[in-house]
Amino acid sequence: MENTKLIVSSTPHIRSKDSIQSIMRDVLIALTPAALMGIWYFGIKALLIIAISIASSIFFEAAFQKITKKSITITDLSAAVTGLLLAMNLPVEIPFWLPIVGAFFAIIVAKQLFGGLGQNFINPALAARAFLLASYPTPMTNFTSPTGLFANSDTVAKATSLADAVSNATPLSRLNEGAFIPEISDYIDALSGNIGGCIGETCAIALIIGGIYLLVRRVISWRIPVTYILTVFILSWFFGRTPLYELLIGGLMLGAFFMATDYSSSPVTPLGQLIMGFGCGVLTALIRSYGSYPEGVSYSILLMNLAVPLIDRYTKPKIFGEVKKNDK
Amino acid sequence: MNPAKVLKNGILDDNPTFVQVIGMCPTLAVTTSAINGIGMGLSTTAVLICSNFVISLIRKFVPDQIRIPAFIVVIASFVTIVQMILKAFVPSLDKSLGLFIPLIVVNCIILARAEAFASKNNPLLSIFDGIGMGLGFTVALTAIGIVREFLGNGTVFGFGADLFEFLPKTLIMILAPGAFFTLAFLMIIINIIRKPKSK
Amino acid sequence: MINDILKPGIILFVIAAIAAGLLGVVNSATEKPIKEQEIKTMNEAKNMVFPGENLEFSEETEVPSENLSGLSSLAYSVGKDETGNITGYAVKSAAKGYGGDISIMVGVSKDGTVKGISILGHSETPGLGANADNDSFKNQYKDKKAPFEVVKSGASGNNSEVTYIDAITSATITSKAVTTAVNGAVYYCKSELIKEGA
Repeated sequence: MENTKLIVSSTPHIRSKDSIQSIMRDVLIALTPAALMGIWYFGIKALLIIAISIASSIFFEAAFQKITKKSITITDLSAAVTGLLLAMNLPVEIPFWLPIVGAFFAIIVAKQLFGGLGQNFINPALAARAFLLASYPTPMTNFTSPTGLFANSDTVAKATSLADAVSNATPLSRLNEGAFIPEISDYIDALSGNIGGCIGETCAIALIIGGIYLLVRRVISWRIPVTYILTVFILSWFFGRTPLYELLIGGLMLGAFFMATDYSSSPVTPLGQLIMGFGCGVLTALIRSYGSYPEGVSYSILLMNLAVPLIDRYTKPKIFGEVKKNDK
Repeated sequence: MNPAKVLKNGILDDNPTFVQVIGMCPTLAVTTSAINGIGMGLSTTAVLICSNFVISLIRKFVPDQIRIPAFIVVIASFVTIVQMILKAFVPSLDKSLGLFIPLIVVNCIILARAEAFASKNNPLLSIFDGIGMGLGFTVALTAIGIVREFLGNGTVFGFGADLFEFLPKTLIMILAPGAFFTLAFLMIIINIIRKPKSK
Repeated sequence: MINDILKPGIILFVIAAIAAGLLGVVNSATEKPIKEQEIKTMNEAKNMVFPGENLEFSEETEVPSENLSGLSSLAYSVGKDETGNITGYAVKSAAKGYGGDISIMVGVSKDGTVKGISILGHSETPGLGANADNDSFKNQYKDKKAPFEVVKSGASGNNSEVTYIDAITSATITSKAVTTAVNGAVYYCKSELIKEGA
């Protein structure tokens, strides 16, 4: 036997290079293309909304942690990510106080009051979006068509009054009001982001690129996004909508890659993640096709978030060597 | 145990809404406006005082096996009387409180006080307990109602629509989730006041 | 022992009897005021839809459900002025809204014009559909003739056949429900109640 000294120390013995900050940084990088496209299409105001949202999120987290005498963790960038995600889920023509209220709800109510990072049971940005939608329905459903980098509220108002009433400004609402078969130009619009919608959800290409980045960097697993998207694809075909177009519009890409994959509100086990992706897909397809709302992504993810503890419970792996209980 | 202490207990130390967390059903459902909150609180207080008084009077004559049905008969009678009076003289309040007036019968607070206090203490103290708990309940409901009405509608007791026109109306506050949020935040505040955080 | 059952039973009986007696007393004391309040509220509601008039209304007649198309319920009472002439009809109609039936009172004059509407009950969302109870919405029907049609942004176009109603922002379903109820009320008056030359 070799006479090597054995080093005895306590865990952890294998360290990964990741830290919360590096993971969050990757998410911010992944979101940047879509955010830039949002600013490109919706104008300077989009940049302002994003900035206000991120700044308020960081402020509220620091303030809460200061007041409750906890250590201030804003440098882990999780608040910044929440702020960016929240902004990307909002329409551009909203008053400036709205993302501030949203940030308050996301950081303080949905995240900090339940124990902070890693303890939230729902996605904070989505919870805030649901809160804002229920509280201020008119600005939150006021979707405008993109008008370019130097748009201000006057040019946008002109553009929308030409359109067939404001509610027709997004592809999903057009689908909700009646059947419409998209043509090649519609597909190109949806890919490039030249459609109405929330600031960060319109450019499908940018979001897909961001999603691939996260997969490559191993920040997220493929299970949730792929099952989610695949389920929506198959069910849309089944329900008689145009499947490929369906994937490119609405908040699906943003939701599947960036929102449903939030660590603390998604299942731990691989099988659980597949179930969550599937569940989100079913709910999204049902709400879009048969519900009275044009979009179903945020509610689907929130509902599945609630089911996560149950999913984790039932997909718990069997412990090797455990004696089976004698149930008679 | 003196009347003043009993009174303070009901309003502060043992507040039915913020401390005991009972009687939540009307608390959440009826506080969509300040006036509804105060109306419900006062109606419940009226019933609570009367039922506490009567139950305390008969406490020595009621055998243990039938105490629950006996209490319920007393409570239900007073609730019915309150409802008839409201219908006859303040129909607007009856209309806005609607189903929740007859539901006072099953308000946990009333049966809880009957069991925990009125059946074990003399009528005078029981009256004060009824006043104390009832006022505590009323204060809680009015506070929640004021917050929800102000944030959700921009008014307080129906006034101030023009004054607060600039304030965005947070509609969710008038809906069910708003009730829970308001209750939670008020509880946080009350708990901070009652118990300074031990470090 | 029988005493274990008899004694509590008798005590409970006595308590219940006293309670019943007390309730009977209060009931007879408040019976009249309650009835008067109900009539008063109903009359007020009916006169509200005939602004400026002070009419005497008959008892309500309910319309059987076979004759209702699109409405959940319909009832009317005839309004007469001091000289006994029929001035109009206070029609209570209901149509399905977003959260349930919306019940309204429509004042229809003898020539089929809507003199006013009032919302009796609804379960619409506060801040959205609940705004149907605002004068700014209700007054759109005042002194206008049916049929009414809901439009979304800015009552546009001049159509002498149709009166346009501006929908409540983000509450189209509620606006359409109220309009259906009003249209149904007027239609019933014109087809069944207002006889030629009456």
